[in-house]
Amino acid sequence: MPRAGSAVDDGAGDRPHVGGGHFGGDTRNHVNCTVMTERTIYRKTAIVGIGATPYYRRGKSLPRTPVEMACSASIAALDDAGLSVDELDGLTFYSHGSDAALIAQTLGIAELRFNAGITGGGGGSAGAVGLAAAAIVAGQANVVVTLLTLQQAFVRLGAQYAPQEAAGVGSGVHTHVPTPERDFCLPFGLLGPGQAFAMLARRHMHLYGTRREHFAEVAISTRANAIRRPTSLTRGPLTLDGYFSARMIADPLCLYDFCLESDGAVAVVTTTAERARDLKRPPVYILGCAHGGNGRWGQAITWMNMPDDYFASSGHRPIARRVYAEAGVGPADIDVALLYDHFTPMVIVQLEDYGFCPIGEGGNFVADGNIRWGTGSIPVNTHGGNLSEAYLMGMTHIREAVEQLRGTAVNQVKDAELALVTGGPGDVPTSGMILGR
Amino acid sequence: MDSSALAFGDELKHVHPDVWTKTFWDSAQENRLVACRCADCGTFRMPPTALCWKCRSREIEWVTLPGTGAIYTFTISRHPMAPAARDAIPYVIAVVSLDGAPGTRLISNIVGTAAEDVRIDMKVEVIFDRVSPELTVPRFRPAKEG
Repeated sequence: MPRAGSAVDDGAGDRPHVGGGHFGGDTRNHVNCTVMTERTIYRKTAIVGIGATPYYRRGKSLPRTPVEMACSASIAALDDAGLSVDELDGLTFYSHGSDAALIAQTLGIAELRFNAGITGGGGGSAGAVGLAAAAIVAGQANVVVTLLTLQQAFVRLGAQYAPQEAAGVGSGVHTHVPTPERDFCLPFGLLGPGQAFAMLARRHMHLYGTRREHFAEVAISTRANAIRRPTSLTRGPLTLDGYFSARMIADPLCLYDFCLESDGAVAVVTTTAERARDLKRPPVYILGCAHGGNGRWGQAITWMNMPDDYFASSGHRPIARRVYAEAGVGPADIDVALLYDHFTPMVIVQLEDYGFCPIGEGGNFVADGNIRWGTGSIPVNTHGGNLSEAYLMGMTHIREAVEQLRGTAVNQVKDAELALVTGGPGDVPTSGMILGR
Repeated sequence: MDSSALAFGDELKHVHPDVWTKTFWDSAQENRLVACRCADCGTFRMPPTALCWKCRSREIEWVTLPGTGAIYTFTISRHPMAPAARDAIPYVIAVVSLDGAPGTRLISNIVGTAAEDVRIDMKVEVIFDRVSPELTVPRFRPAKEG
């Protein structure tokens, strides 16, 4: 199937149609007309450094501690940029966040001038870099580290809704204490995101004829990318037979539809575009970044009352519209897409919501080979993603986008100029970002 | 009701109602399925919340529903995500569109039928599962003909 570059309908209904069949050309000028001209982060900041710990299987990062891993990743990222802690003055987070006080004290940050985080889960990964960009553009900070640290030795995100007393699992970011909202999940045995996303996937299958073979193609193509990378936690190829013989977890999702469970830390350094041009690495400019979502998407997978029009989606349609508008590009312009892949069907719905194919066509789109590295029209998760490289809540996707645009990726997309990076489909806010050379 | 019971661990047999959700759980104890409707604009909302999302009124009418509905989507949970579900697998979690409360859905379970026979759009009816003296959980089974 050709890349349709179809329109993105965010479900708002009453908004002007942005960009028609293609988001390119003068879209940005159209949206950011006159009074809005200066109110954009477009190309005013750049990612200049990336650092990470090794990636570990769940629990295997012990006896390292989260704060030590966070500081090590931060220093590595600053070093990658040719900067030092002496110049670091901002920290941004998402999901669990990190304790800024502890990190500032441990790193010896001279003066922390900006700290912010995005609530919710993995949805905020791209958006947390946007916080850094916004702060820098507003003059609130100069050098900002965006950070994610995960250690699942004691907390298992796959059962994050389960009550803490359930024998050492559960108690994820949203659920430290029982809540009246959680009462509408737990008595029914809805204990983790996988079960909930299985229900979104089933609805998509019902509406559009999406099949498990389509989910398999996401898992298999992502694994094929992962096994070429030394950082990857999975090294063996995945076959269709292997996929279909795996145990079912939450039907229609089997083991390989779920992401890995990993430990580690990844840090990203952002600074002004001017400063970026004098640093060690070629700048990777932030062309647009958006986080949020429709209020009626809300808690999404733990309340299941999203509007029927976009129930079987990623919740990303408003994000797609804004991020393309700010960057002044459309889906046909994107060279590589790093789509948050906690569950295979959510890659398919993001391909639809970001306009790489029409709504409902995502299954056939992947089945036609469109997301394969080397041959597909839009290579997806060239690093192996959350599914097969490591699950560090989308930060590895940002790392890969930067490597692709520097031209240093293991699975390099030839002459890649524009990368789309997304945060996890899930509750509001989620996020997306377009990076460019 | 025994044939329809789900063998969840005790950790999943507690609720923590607030002033907005208490009526729902109290009604279930009396074998009534109720939904929250805005007393000012008539918009239903579930699960119950403090404000009407449409007009922001805090005035609530509780409507007793017929207890029927249709399966909007579902999953067959075959792997215990936590020990509390170990004795219950496989079980069906479903999102049920509620008759009598347009536009609302409830996360629940489908019981009283083989998991393999569950389908989207299947008509279902509520059953009240008394999981403890203090808690009754509304679940659903395929509706009887007619």
